[in-house]
Amino acid sequence: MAEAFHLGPEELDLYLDGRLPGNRTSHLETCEQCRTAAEETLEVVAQLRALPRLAPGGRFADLVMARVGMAGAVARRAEEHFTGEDLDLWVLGTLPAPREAHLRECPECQALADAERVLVMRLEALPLFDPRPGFAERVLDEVDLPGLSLVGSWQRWRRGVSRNPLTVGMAAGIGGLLGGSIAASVAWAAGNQDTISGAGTWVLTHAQALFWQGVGTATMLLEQQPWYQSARDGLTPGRIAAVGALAVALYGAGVLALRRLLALPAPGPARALS
Amino acid sequence: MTDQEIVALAREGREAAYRELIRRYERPVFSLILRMVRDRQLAEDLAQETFIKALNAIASYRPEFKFSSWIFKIANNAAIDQLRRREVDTLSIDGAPNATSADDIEATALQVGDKGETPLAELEARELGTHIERAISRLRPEYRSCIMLRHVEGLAYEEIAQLLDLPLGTVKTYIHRARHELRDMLAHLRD
Repeated sequence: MAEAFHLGPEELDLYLDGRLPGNRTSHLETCEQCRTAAEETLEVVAQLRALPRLAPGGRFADLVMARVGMAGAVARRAEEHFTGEDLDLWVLGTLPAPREAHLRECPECQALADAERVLVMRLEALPLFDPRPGFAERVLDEVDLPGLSLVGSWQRWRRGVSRNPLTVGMAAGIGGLLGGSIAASVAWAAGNQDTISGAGTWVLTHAQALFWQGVGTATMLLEQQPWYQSARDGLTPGRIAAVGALAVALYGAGVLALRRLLALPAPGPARALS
Repeated sequence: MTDQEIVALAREGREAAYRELIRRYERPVFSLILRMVRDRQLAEDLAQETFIKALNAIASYRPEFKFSSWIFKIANNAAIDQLRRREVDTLSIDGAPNATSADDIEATALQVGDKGETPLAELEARELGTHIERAISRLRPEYRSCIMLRHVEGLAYEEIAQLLDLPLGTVKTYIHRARHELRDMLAHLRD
């Protein structure tokens, strides 16, 4: 039964990589057979790693290049005229030596390289253009700033309004109308104190009379109901207290239930920005 | 302050950070688009659209990429889309295509900046600018955006490839061909 738990070849690999799980490592400590196998494997690997690296002959690279045709390609490349890539490297000052040599020898490529240098200089000297003044304002009017404050909203609205002569005219007209009406009201009220006071008294008197008339009608209707007398007889102070307590308890339970329903969810983990 | 730091502030809703991003990139973005579409009013609208799109989506910007690459990508896409929708063939260096009066032509023409040179040097610089702007405008749009991003904005080939969603080899080919065409078009200036 114990043999079923011996380390297999894959577990020996894990052991060599230092990734053998803890329970299997403890098996190694108790099992002589597995420990010997692991130590022997370690020793073989160490010997393999210690093997010296052997250098090929001195002309190895040349021989390989000749076989794959690169020597010819390098030679041909040195003779070829400049490509766009060469010009890039030349402008950056990183042209390889063989290509530099070609440039020195080839008047055609020299002319090309000179033209390239002049062109790049002209392109880099191109001016930048300005948009019309007020560009930032026009952009910001259309941008929704996150977490915008009331002050920010007001400023943005005011900026938008102040640039349009039509809205400025309309706002001024509405403002003048409102201000004029208020001033006229105040002036009229100052000269007609008695009228205002008489109207106030009349309204108050009639409102009171209407209120008490409504209360009297409601009471009379209540007394005419068939259940009124029996309900009145059954109302004892104890029952009133019990009904009051029940109403308070129901109200409390309702408030608690509502609070639970309306509670905001607890803050979760921050969402990664896409 | 780096672009990334400013973007972080913009994400918090700081208006000053938005303004700074616009200040840094309004000229490069506008210039790129203007040289692509060659119409000042259209370029202005597209540059505005570019910034509005970028700043409204600032929350989705991924900080591992350069902000400049991101905004140039949006700008280039806007310009290319516009060119696909409308063929803008007239050189705006001579005024917008729809400019008819002398005032319109003056208002919409590309203005090469005065760098405080002598009148003769300035005349030569304007002439040179005119020739090179004309030559650039004759390039295919994809060559034009590549050459502008490489030599005016100084982006690396790899960045341009990523920005334009093109293989690196294609970007190199476009730029080499563009320079070849520009050299040919400007050859008469060397004589």
